[in-house]
Amino acid sequence: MHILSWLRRKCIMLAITLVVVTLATFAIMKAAPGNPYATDRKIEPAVERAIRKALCLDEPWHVQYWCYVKNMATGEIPSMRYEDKTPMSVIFPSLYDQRTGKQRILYWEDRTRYDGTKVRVLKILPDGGLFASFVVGCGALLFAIGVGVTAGVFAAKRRNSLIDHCLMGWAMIGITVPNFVIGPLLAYVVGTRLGWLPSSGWGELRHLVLPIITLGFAYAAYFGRFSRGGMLEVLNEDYVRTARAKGVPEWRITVWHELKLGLQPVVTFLGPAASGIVVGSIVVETVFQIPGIGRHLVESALARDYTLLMAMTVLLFTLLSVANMIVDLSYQLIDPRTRGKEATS
Amino acid sequence: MTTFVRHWGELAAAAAWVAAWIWIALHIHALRMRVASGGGESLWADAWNRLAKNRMAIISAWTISVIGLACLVGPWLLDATYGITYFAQNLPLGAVPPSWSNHHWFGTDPHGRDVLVRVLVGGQISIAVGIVGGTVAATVGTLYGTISGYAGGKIDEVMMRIVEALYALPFMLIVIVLGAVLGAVFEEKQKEQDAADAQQQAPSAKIRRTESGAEDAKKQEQGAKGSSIFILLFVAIGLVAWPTLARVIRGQVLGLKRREFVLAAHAIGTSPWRIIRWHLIPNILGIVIVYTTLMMPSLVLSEAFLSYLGLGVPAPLASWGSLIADGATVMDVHLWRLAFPATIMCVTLFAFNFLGDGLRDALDPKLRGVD
Repeated sequence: MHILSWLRRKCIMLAITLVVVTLATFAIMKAAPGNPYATDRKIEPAVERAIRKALCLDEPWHVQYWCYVKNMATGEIPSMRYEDKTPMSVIFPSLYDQRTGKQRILYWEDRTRYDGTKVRVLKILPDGGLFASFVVGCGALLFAIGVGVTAGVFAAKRRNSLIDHCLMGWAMIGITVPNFVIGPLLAYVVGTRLGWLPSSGWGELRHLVLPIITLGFAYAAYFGRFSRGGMLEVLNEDYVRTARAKGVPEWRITVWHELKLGLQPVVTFLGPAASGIVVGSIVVETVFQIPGIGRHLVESALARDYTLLMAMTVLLFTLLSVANMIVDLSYQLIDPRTRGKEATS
Repeated sequence: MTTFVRHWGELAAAAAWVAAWIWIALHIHALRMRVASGGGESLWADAWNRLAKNRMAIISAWTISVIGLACLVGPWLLDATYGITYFAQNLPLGAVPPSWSNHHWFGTDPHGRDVLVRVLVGGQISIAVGIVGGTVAATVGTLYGTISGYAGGKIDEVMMRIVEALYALPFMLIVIVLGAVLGAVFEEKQKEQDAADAQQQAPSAKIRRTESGAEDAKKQEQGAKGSSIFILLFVAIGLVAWPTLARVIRGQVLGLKRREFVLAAHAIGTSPWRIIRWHLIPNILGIVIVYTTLMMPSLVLSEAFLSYLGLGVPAPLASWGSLIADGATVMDVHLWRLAFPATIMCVTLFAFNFLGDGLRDALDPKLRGVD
């Protein structure tokens, strides 16, 4: 199949997925009890009328749905709890921030400590919302791939040795122990007891370390298992033996010949891992007090702020669908044998 | 003795369960001995032999059954002997560390509620999620995978595209949204109930015990109502988990449907449903069992995850996730409140993982005859 027609089919799939997701969230929102503005405090009739108009609450349901999608696309749907906020201002706070001056993503800052000594700290743009979640999520994914693949390759190369058993035991722990146990434990031991890293907060690069480890730990374990399995399958293939017989150095065989095919299960697992990291970031951002989307998602769910909740759900779905599509596309471009087929099946 | 045992009925029920468990365990042991000595030839006897040789898997199976039994009868026993319930508060005994002398072996929380009984009740909920969610996921996944694989062609194509879309997207988010909405529904009902109670001005007629009063009876009712709503949530968790199973099953069915016995059944005019029911599903049952076992930890984790965020079971009830959430906030002063629930939950999850791996080694046809 030609790559363009494959792309077109993928785009149609994406559109269908998004329609289904928005329809589902809309249906759940409609099924929620009470009307959205029956709060404890009386709202002025004029305000309520304006809000009802903005949400098209007096129209039939299909008009309401269309209204909802339109509001979602512009991000200007009003939040139910925070009067001054819209999903846009939660997702991209800096756009709505009154701070002036140049914004830098990464920079050094001199700081005087309480005992008078001066230190330089590496600061990160203190912006919350999507930026914070993106930095933590990508960091966790990179950590998981780096640590997991390295461990998996080592374990496969030294199969059934002590190092293999140790690494796979660790992987089992990583898969079993949930991140909401690892997170508080790390924050307590490394943050409070040892005092090596801050246990919560946002704004410096040091703040990233513990959340990234917490979030990436389980997926490092999965990647380790998958890459070990994948490597074991190709370890005794003919072309690897040919390369070895030719006298190619061992590291080159590993990097060039074995990794290429051995990492296929890892690539296949990228999509589910990314979606798992998005879900996991909800916990991690709550534990480490990172002002990302995940924390807002939980807070809006607990506060029953449906508009904010739905907007963020749909946003995350859209982002992940597009990311999956890009991964699939790159997979197709790299490996000619899969062209026209699905990467994940 | 009469002063020691408070509620004979619950004690009898607990004893009955323990007796049943011992009976089943003895029978399984006898079966294991027989199969191990006889050296069966059938698929299941073969698998059983392999499993019996896998020490980790056997230990895991025992661990799971002991924890399950403890969760089932533990709360009754504690209530029957020391009068400890998961909701009764006892403020003077708040936040005491674990000790043998005051019967609170796992310590208490700041409300004076015993942590052990709350861990056991939480275990009941977690295991219920595993069973309900696992059944839902296994049923949906098996049917979907079998139909998709057997039908083939365009139908297969469309069905697998749907599974892929479900697989790589965080449908847990939809469950979170659903949890928020169900919580709102629950609160709404609560309000109506409270209003009705206030109108009646009469104490509820369903007082179970005179000494603990209407308060406890009402709390139990709330718990029951809450769990009836949260069964829906369990089903939702199960529905998130099925795509993995559906894909595996489809792969198996694709291989099976070209085998002679299926072709023969087709040739003599057996209807597709009959083929699926009597020829395909019995042959993939092993895989279904393996993957359902391997799925259990993730189901339990999903529930714990929701409860950790405060979207799971409602307040008087407890679950492992909500206990861990409570314990994590105070772990530097009340370490036992985090350590006990987290340890028991992790041990259970480990056991499920090892048992699942053992079952896979025992039942996976790819490995059969390799040993």
